[in-house]
Amino acid sequence: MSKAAVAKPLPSIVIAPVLPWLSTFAVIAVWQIASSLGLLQEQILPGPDAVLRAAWTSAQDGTLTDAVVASVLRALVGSLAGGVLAIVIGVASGFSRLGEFIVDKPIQMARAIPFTALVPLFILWFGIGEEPKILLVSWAVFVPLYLSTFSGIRNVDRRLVEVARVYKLSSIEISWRVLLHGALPSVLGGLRYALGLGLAVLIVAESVNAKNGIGALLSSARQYAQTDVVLLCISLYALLGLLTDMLVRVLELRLLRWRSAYVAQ
Amino acid sequence: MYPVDIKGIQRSYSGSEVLKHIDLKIARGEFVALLGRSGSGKSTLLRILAGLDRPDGGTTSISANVAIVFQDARLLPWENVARNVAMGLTEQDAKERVRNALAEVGLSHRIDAWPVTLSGGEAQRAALARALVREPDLLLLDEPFGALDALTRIAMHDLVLELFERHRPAVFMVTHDVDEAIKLADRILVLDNGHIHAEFTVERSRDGSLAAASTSIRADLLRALGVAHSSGRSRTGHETESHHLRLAAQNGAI
Ligand SMILES: Nc1ncnc2c1ncn2[C@@H]1O[C@H](COP(=O)(O)OP(=O)(O)O)[C@@H](O)[C@H]1O
Ligand SMILES: [Mg+2]
Repeated sequence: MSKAAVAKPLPSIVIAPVLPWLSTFAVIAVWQIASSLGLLQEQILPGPDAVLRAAWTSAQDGTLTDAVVASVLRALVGSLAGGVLAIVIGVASGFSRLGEFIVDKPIQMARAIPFTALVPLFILWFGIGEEPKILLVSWAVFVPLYLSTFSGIRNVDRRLVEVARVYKLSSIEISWRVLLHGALPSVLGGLRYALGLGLAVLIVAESVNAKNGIGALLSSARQYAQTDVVLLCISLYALLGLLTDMLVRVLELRLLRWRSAYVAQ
Repeated sequence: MYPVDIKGIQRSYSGSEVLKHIDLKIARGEFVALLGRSGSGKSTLLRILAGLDRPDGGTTSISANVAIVFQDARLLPWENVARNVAMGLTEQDAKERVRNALAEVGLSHRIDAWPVTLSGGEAQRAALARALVREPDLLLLDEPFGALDALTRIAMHDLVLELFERHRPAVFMVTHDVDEAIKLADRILVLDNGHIHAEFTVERSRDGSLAAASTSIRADLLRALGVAHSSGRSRTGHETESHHLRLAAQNGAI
């Protein structure tokens, strides 16, 4: 380390990842200070320290862990089922006219239905077990992901498909190597949105009717006016949303390397 | 068995007959160029040979081992050069063949590159490697040098000739560049009004220069294309003829 290097400003590599978080930290800090000074009414808006304390106590008696595990499992299973189905059906109907006629039209119509309207129907149909919640998440993930897969496939350069046909790739290979890869930017954009929607729908479904899960914790906290637990649940959702976003970002970095290659050179 | 043997090919798009009656045979080791005005149906014919389009009438017998290079390289942007070149190869030694093909087109150093990082000439050489790696019986070229700058185009001409001499496939090249056709092809066809309107054989001496019998071919081609001079359609008169040649010489400079 030379002395000249010490005098230099912090390299951007160190600052860049921190920057986007600064405003969030600032808000939390102001919130904490206001709360400590007694400016906020504890019943209306407890401070961040109270939320952390609520997290600690509910983690101690196991309710927090149970709720998070239940919700994350539902989100995972539902997203996976809805996601895989959306991509397979999206590729099939993007690839063939017949597929488009059979599935695209009904899905285009179904997308207009608000998800909350389906909650009571699914509960009537599937009872109060895991099925209605997982199905709701699947559906919420399926619709936007299907739509973005379909439009992504339709926008893939047909001239690339022609080359693949001359070189005798099978339909499966063309679907995978040409169409799905070409549609990936659109698919991943759709995935980001779909996972967020799946999480939101899960919260609604859990707070209407569930024995466990973050939504159930939220709804019981509301009943007993535990504002700190309500805030804890909201923070958990924010955290889960952040995690799914990071997951999609990692996927994008890996799968769309070919797009950034030119910039990186 | 000819790699291309088609008879009486017809093709219409919404009522307008683009190809009316095309007969064509191409032997292995023969380089055929197709000239014609823009919109005369050259690509339509090439696409039929590639199996990308069906004729409305006529019979076709076309080799199963076809390779193609378009004006745009059409590499899959999300696969590196090596994977692109290997497209559709099922042989055990595919990797080795890809390496050899890339070496042949002088692109060994870009084997792992993403297509977006290639220059126009490099991308076209990768497309050429992808075509040659499967030792095709029939190589289809649709204005393959059209998007390249003049210097790169000349280098590509030499490369294509060199590869053609080594592998001797049947070549069918669509172009609208008369000089390119003369430089590369053994036989030049002119497509007009849905027919092969004129056909020229290019005779070369040992050293590759045009033989005496073929010196007027440029003027003849320009006349067949109807682009020489306003009176160019006239088939008589030495004055017109020599005028064409002068015009050809002016435009010339291969
Ligand atoms: N898929 C298509 N649908 C309708 N018309 C087409 C299609 N492909 C080509 N054509 C028409 O056929 C004619 C010949 O086109 P093309 O073979 O591409 O000409 P060239 O390659 O000689 O410039 C043009 O008039 C073009 O508009
Ligand atoms: Mg064309």
